[in-house]
Amino acid sequence: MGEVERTFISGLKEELVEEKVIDESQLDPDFAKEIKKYGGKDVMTFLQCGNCTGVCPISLKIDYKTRSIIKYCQFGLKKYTLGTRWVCATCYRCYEHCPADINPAEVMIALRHIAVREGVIPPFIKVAATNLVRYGQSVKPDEEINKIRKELGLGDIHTFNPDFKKVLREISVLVHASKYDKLIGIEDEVKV
Amino acid sequence: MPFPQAVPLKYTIDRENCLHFKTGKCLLCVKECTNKAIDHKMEDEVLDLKVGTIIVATGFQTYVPMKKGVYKYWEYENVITALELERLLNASGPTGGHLIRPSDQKTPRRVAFIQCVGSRNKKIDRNYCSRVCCMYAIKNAQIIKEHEPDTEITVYYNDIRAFGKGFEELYHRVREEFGVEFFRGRPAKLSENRETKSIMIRAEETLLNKITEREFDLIVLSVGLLPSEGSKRIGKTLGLSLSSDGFFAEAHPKLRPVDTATDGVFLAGCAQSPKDIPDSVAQAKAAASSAAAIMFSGKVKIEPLTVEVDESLCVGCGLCVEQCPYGAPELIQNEEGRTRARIIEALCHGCGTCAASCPQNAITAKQFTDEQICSELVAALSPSSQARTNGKKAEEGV
Repeated sequence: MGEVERTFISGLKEELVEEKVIDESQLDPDFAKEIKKYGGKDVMTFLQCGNCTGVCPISLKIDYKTRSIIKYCQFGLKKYTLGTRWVCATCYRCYEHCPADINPAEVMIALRHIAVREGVIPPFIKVAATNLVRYGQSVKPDEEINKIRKELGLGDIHTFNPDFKKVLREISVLVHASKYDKLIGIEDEVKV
Repeated sequence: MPFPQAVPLKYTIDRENCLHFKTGKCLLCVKECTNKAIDHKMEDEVLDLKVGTIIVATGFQTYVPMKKGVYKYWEYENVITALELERLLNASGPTGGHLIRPSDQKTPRRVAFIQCVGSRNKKIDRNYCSRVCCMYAIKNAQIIKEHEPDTEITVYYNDIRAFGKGFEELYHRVREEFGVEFFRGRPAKLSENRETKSIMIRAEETLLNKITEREFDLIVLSVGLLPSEGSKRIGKTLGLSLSSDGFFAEAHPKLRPVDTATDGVFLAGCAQSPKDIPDSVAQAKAAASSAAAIMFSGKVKIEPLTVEVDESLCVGCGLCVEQCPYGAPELIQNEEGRTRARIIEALCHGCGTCAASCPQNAITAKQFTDEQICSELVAALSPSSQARTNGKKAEEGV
């Protein structure tokens, strides 16, 4: 960046978050096919009416625009689609309202698959996966949860129970066989 | 008179309120009419007419918003359809052309139009554009602005399709001269203020990439056009096919937009597809002249490619009668008293459906006999022709 440009931009006090010009090298024409491969519908039929963003309960709180993410998918701008797709709660409200009859929530799930395969894995996914292997569930059982369970009249979660050990072993085998551990990067946890 | 722009522009008797039909007396109008044009004894009658050609112009009906839909047409008083707005703005309408809103009869200050209601929506199986909604919304916006210049008007649209002569100019005029705001985005949620009965619209402004919430006094739904209710019944009677959107299918979408698969039956107006007034008039004139051309020449030219029945093979099962899209085969008794199929050559188009379906192979299409088709196939699949095609492909680099 030249001196003049830097002065100009600092004068505007504008942050350079994204690249201002998108050239052809960033476009991936097969991206729509890749999304289809991972279970999403054809994003090319999307009308860009903005209904999905309007009904999205998350978009009211977070800067998360379903419509623009799908627009990136249409162009094949992979880079922009790999970041914040994890906030989607897959409530399928967008699908209920979509006049183009495509399912934005499933596109988001497909984008997660692609992101993981590309190596973009947020830390909480690793934590959840580790918990799954260690305790058989994605949330770590602790004193608090056992207290709430007691209040509701449920028994404690015993990770030391021999029956439970058998289940855990089965989970480990499944995780190892499907190479999920390698994908997420938790090979050390899984002992088969 | 039903209303000032009625076609035909004739007076009719309102049976429900006429004193004669109520009490059996009165008849003052009969005394007054110098032309003796009023007859209270007339009844509806069904006429059998023998006609040469038929023009199908059964029109359309408007989409009725869903009971539990997003746009709350049945729940909120101040959500109306464009047809209801049209009546409110009409100089001879219930309000004399004065725009009011249904809940408190006050003039609305903020009006929103919502486009593409009941059209361009795959969810409700209406995947077509109704073509007229953009322009009637723009026209109504202009009329409201002319009556009440202070009104703020916002049009929630997906794409504005101002395709006809002078339409784009009108679109620019309402934006530039009248200051109508165009908002790109489909409304996601409507919620009513219990006290003021105003309605909040939440929608994403897709060009700004921002979610907005705005309040309006009156919401107008620009409803799309549907095929009229009796389309299927008339289609069955006349042997017309319906296209996937439910309107009548034309013989060829580009070259024969007025003709149908049945000879002598023509289409005009919204029976074929949604269209505006100039297009409907143009198609109606085309249909009328196509019909007149056949009627006045007195003769009909038909293709020589028909089918023939071998009577010695035919067993009179009647499968061809069921299969034929043109109603050409009929079952008759021959001299020996046996049932046999006969083809009415004037109706046959030589499509070969009956020939293919005949279990006895009794029907053959002229110029397309089994031997002819088999020898064509043999020639096409022979090694020499294959080598030729391959050579050609190799030359072209396929």
